[in-house]
Amino acid sequence: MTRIISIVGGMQPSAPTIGTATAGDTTASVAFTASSYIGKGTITYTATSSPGGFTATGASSPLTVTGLTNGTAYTFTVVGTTNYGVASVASAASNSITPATQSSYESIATVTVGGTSQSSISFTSIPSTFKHLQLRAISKTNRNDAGEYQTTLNMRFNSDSGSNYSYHRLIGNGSSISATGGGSVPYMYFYFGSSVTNPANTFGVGVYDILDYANTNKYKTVRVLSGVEDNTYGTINLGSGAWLNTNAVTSISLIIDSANDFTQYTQFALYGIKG
Amino acid sequence: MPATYEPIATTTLSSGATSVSFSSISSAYTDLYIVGQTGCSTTDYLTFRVGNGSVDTGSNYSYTYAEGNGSGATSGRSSSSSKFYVGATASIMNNSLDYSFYINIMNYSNTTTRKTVLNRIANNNSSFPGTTASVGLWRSTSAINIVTISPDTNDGRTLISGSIFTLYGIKAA
Repeated sequence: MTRIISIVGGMQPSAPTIGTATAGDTTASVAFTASSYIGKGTITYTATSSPGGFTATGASSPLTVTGLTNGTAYTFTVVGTTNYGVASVASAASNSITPATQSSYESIATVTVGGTSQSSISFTSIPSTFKHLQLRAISKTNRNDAGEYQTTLNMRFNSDSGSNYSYHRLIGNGSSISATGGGSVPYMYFYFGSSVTNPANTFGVGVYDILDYANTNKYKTVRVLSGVEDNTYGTINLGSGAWLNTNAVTSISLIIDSANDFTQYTQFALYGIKG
Repeated sequence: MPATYEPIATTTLSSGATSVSFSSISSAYTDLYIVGQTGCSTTDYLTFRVGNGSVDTGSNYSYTYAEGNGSGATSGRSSSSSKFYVGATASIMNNSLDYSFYINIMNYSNTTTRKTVLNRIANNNSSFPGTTASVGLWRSTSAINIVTISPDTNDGRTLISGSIFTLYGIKAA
């Protein structure tokens, strides 16, 4: 018997590309890159654990698989299936993770700049399993403008380069107080970091709180305390920022204003805080 | 291996003390975080010193602050100071427990960078109410393993009974 399959509906998506699995408390967040697909349908993705066959389904990365047993090691594969029922080949297996009881405050990732300066620092595939995020940082840059002893840190979420941010800064420089701000801009701008003007081993510091970052019913707010002090100059900054988007924050991108770079020993540590 | 955010020690004063110290601090964390609520038997600034083995009493501290007291906002700084002051007028304690603060000591155990601190004060005492934020520098690349908190004036005045100070360690991945 000859079976005729609609050319349009029968197109098979390619296998998704597996990303990083992250352990939670009886859960795992599975990141992946979507399938290539030239058909007309839509694709739904399913992550499946091994062992156990626990699954999670959704339209995009990451997928959160629940019902796992703490203390048991799992890997995951992802399959993309069209609305016509045509499934891809499964992805390669993910890294092995072992779910465990989570503390309220967890380290998610840390970036430390080595001997080669970096123009940007990014955190990607941020799991949605926390309530708030906190970035804690020390930073040195290669800004070399005469008399400038600090730099501006530009922050954006989910690679959104639109004018969808606002920010405000209250700044004390040791002799006066000033305030700046702006709306409908492509970054949140925060004073931070030290420059070539500061002594070589003097770093700016900052603590950045990203509140309720995974909530899809509200814009995202950032609260900032940052500063630099070198025994000649100093700046203390209180800042706030907003991303005018209700999507959950899944990535954070950081650059230094005016195309300057983060230099050696700069470190950004991202933490998740349970609610 | 330490937890990511771990209480290291807490001191609660059952009677007045001229200072409170956290010593022999493990180098296993990335940042230190001190939270406290206190007052002083005689009005005075809250100050603190850091060091390795013993606190540094040399003129190796500096700081910049911004504060508001309900009628105005100011910023000031001090270079080559013998201790950290967390602020100015709005950071003065009186004989009540209405003064709360936190101190971040960033990357305290590395031996490459000078040590920078970030502080906040909420001062609700009746004499010097206000709020302060400050950044400070200890001009040393030594790892910090001791912190001593005290009133500015060394004449026997004390941090009062009921004061509480908690030290946390924060460990990055």
